[in-house]
Amino acid sequence: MPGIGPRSAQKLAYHLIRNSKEDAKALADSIVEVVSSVVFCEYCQDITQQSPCSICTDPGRDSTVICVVEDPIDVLAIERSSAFSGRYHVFHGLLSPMDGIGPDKLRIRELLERLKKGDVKEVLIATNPTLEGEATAMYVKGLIAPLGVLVTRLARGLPSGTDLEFADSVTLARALEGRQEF
Amino acid sequence: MSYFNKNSSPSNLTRSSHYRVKGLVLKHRDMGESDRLVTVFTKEYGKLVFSVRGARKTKTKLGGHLEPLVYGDYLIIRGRSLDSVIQGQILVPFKTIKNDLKKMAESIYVADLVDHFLQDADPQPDMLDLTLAILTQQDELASNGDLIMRIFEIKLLEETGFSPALQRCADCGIEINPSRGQKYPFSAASGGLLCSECSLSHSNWVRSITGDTLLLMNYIRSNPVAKLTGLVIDGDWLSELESVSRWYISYIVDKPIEALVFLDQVRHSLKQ
Ligand SMILES: [Zn+2]
Ligand SMILES: [Zn+2]
Repeated sequence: MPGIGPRSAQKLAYHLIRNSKEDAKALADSIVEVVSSVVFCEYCQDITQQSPCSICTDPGRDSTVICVVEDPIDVLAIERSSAFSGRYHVFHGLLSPMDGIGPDKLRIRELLERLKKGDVKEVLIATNPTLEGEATAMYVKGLIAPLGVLVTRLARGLPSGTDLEFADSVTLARALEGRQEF
Repeated sequence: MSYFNKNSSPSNLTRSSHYRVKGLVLKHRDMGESDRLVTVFTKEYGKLVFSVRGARKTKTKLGGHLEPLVYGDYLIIRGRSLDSVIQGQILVPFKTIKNDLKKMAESIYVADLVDHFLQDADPQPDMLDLTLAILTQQDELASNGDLIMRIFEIKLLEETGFSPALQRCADCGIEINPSRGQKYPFSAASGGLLCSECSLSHSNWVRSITGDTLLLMNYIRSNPVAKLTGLVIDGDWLSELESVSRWYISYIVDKPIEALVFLDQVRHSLKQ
């Protein structure tokens, strides 16, 4: 599991054993409940309890700008920065050519469908400043450009090789506000 | 999977806790909460895998110094199972490659192919020099990527001892002088041309190849990279060379080269 190494797993297991089996069962049940109640938003593909998600249905948000991110954690990071008021699109991964993760494994087609339908004027590509993030950004730009939609990219404030999710809110807000045509 | 090969630490060193390497980062993979594993083609010890703690955090510059397709100088500390990079300095960033989708896809293919041909901890300084020379051409030339990839494939086969027989029969050794406009049987299993007699005893992994392409392969083999990249070669000619090289390499590597799939997708998307 992401974020839980062998040592943390051991600690968790130890904690559960020390407490009662009922506690362990309650935890297992709540995990099952969360997993089974989560769906993908039919528009932005983010994980949500109900589709469409609260961001996609919020009339106060700018529906002409879509921010494209790698995964749901990035949506949380950007929301925390309060510097973006448009909508999102979650790819659920980045192109990773040497691992065989190609465009067909990401939710790119869903983004193109959204763009063909509507009133979107700008797509802000907010993938990580890594080789995979740049490859994804350039590939997607090539698909979007013919549709006549403005494509922008985060400003180069985030150090290369890092993950968006670790960026502090101030840095992230600056990168969002300083975005440039790509 | 070479990532978890615990014997990848260079063994011919003294017991000092640190050592330095110069190397080209071939690939990386996320590990744990904020760490990464990187595969580096080092000048000194060949292909090694290192961990990089906190590489994905924005407070460190180390992650950027260990991105794939960066040539750098790294300080390594020994670990129980895996050695770690603790300091790094970029020597050649290959920046232009990373701003151009086709160049990037081609260069990732270069790194992937090198990774397939390298054994762990087996020094191959000439192969590293070839790889750096190819990436330098990619970084500096406006666009001749298709030709540069073909040059790379032929030179890599030579460097790894798989260079095909182009002027004699790969089975019996009899001399063959390919001429333009003629076709010749070429065997992947035997590793090159076959004379008409020997070709009768082969059926699998044999294809026909034109004398033109054989001459081109021979020309590429006998000239240095820098002299070749400026050549202007007819598209059909280059296509046959591509098809032969891919076919021959797929026989040798014997597993899918994932980066090639992406390169094809990129070339396809750019044509539209
Ligand atoms: Zn949504
Ligand atoms: Zn023969």
